[in-house]
Amino acid sequence: MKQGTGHVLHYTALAWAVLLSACSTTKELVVLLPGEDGKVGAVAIEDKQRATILDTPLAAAKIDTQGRVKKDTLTEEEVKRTFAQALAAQPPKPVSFLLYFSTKGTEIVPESRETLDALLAEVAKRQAVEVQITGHTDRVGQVADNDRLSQERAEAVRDMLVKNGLKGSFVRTVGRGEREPLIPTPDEQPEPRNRRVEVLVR
Amino acid sequence: MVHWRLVVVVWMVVVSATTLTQAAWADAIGQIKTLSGDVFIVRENVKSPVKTGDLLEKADTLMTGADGRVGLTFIDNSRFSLGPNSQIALEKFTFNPTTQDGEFVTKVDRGTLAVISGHIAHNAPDAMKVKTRTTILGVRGTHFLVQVEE
Repeated sequence: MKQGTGHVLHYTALAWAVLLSACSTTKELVVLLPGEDGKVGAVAIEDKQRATILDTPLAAAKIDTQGRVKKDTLTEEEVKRTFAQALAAQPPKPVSFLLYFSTKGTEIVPESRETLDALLAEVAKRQAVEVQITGHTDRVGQVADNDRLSQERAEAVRDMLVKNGLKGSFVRTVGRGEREPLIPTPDEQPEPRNRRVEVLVR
Repeated sequence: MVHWRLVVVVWMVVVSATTLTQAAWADAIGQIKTLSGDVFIVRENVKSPVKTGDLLEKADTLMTGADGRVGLTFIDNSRFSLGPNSQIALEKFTFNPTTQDGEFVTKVDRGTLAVISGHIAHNAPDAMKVKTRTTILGVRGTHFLVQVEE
C-alpha cells in the first residue's frame, strides 16, 4: 500500500518535471529588420493587456513561456547567430517590367528592347520562376477589340519568353483591355504610355 | 483479364494525376523557390518531401529537417524562409489579385522564420498575422524574424 502510493507520487512528480521543463525551455524571439528599400516597418506583439511595438532597426521582443514580453535591441552578430540559415534561404524580390507597344500592334517599340533584354536576363537567373503577364491598351477603338488586343500583346511577350527558353508552365497571361490606364485619358485619345504590357517576375 | 485491370488502373492513375495537377495550379497560394536538405510538406495528413518549384496550398504545413532550409513566395508577393528544424502552418490565406486585399495567418510551431510581407499586409495593417505558441504578431511591414525554441 505504502509502496503503491510512493509509485503514484513518483510518477506524478516525474510528469510535473517533464511538463515544467517543456514549458520553461520554450522561448520566443521576434526581431525587426530594415526593409529592402531602407524603410523600417513595424510589428506589433499582441499581449493580453497591451501591444508591444517594434519599429526601429534590430528591435527585438523576447517572450517567455507566460507570454511576457521584454524589449531589447540585438546586434547584427546576434541576428546572424540565430537566423543566418533562414536568411540565406530567402527568395529574391519579385520585379516588374513595363514594355510599350505601337498603335494597334503587338510589336514592342524600339525603346523597350533594352527592357526586354533585362527581363530575359532576370527570368534566366531565377529558380522556379513565375511570370505574370498583363496586357493593356489605350482608349482608341472598341472595348471588345482592345480586350483582344491586350491579350494578344500579353501572348506576344509570352511567346518571346518561351522562345528564349522559359517553360510555359508557370506563365500566366491576362488582357485587361483599356480598363486600367496608367495615364487617365478621354475615350479615343491615343496614349503611348497606356499601350503596355506589365510583366511580374517572381 | 488481368491485363485489362492493369490498363484500367493505369488509366485511373493518369487521369487522377492530371486532375490533381490542374487542381493544384488553381488552388496554389505560393511556390517553393529555394531549398536545401530535407524539407517536407504535410497536406491532408500526408507528409511528403518537396522540391524547388512545388506549389503551396492553403492549410499546408511545412517542415525542415536538421540540415534543411527553404524559401517560399506567395501570390501576394510575400516571401518566407525557414531555417533548420522548423515547422510552420499556413492556417489562412485569401487574396484578391484585383484589389490586392486578403488575409494571411501563419502559425510558427518551432524553429526560425524570416518574413518579408507583401500586398496583403501593405493594404491593411491587421490582415497579416503570425502566431507563435504564446502570442500573435500583427504585421505592419515588412521584414522581420521569428524564432520559437522548444
